[in-house]
Amino acid sequence: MAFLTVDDAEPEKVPTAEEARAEIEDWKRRIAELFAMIRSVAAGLGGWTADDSRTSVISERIMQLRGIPAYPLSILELHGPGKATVKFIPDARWVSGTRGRVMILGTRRPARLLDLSEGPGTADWRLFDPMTWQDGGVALTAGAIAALIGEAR
Amino acid sequence: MIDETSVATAFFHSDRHFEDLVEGEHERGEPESGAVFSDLRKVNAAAYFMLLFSQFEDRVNQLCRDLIRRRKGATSWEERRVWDILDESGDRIRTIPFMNRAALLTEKGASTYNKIKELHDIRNHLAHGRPLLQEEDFALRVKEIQDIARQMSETP
Repeated sequence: MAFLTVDDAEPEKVPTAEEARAEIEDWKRRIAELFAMIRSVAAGLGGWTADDSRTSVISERIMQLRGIPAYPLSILELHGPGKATVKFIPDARWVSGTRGRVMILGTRRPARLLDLSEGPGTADWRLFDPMTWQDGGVALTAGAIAALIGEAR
Repeated sequence: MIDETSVATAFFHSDRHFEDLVEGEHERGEPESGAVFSDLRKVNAAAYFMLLFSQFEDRVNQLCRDLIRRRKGATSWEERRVWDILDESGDRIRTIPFMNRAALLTEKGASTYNKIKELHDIRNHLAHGRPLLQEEDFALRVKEIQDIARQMSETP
């Protein structure tokens, strides 16, 4: 672990290039597992199809500092009855106090997923919205995913 | 003062709106426009953080004023002499550096103090237009600030 001094603030810990690359690989794995879980729930609801052919390009400040190039990561789109579409977009691996953030578009509630797990190898995705943030979000169970998809606009 | 719940709710809606705009531009094959909205999304998040921190600082000031006044009211000079040199009247409370005001309300070096220091550092980064190393998530920060404010208000 190296340190970066930013003016008068405390030195901030910056992962080495090797550590950052390992984190990105772990983040990709967690996203793949998350999307597999969401697809499985959507398939059980009937009338919903999943598409992850589109990607977003991830380039974060830590990556830029360590000379790591931007990389594509799949967006999960769920298409339901009518024109209902819910999108899960991987947003950033490095979000303070978390191990990553996924934005959710297309639902009535403005919601997001934050991974509050302690370290690599596990995931603790929690759903945050205006009703749940004060409780530290809610665990992302199959029921929570189904309720969210059911709110598609 | 706007309550934190309203600030958080407004942030959730506006942040998603910007993400919607970013995604819309990417879907149309306009990544440059998407990058513009992505930058605006960061500005939006920074503005909400500054609003929240300003309200937090206001609360710190009020708690400090109350504490200093109470301590100045001690009958024994030995007890009040350190407090007598502090000027808590009106905006004069701001002549005490922010982290010293925080240290009056929470133990210096303890976890709550260190959290306040972290928030203050983020505030300084944003106020001076410097990029943050990591993204911030308002959902977590609002709760953190609420918890700290609650703990400080219990300071004897």
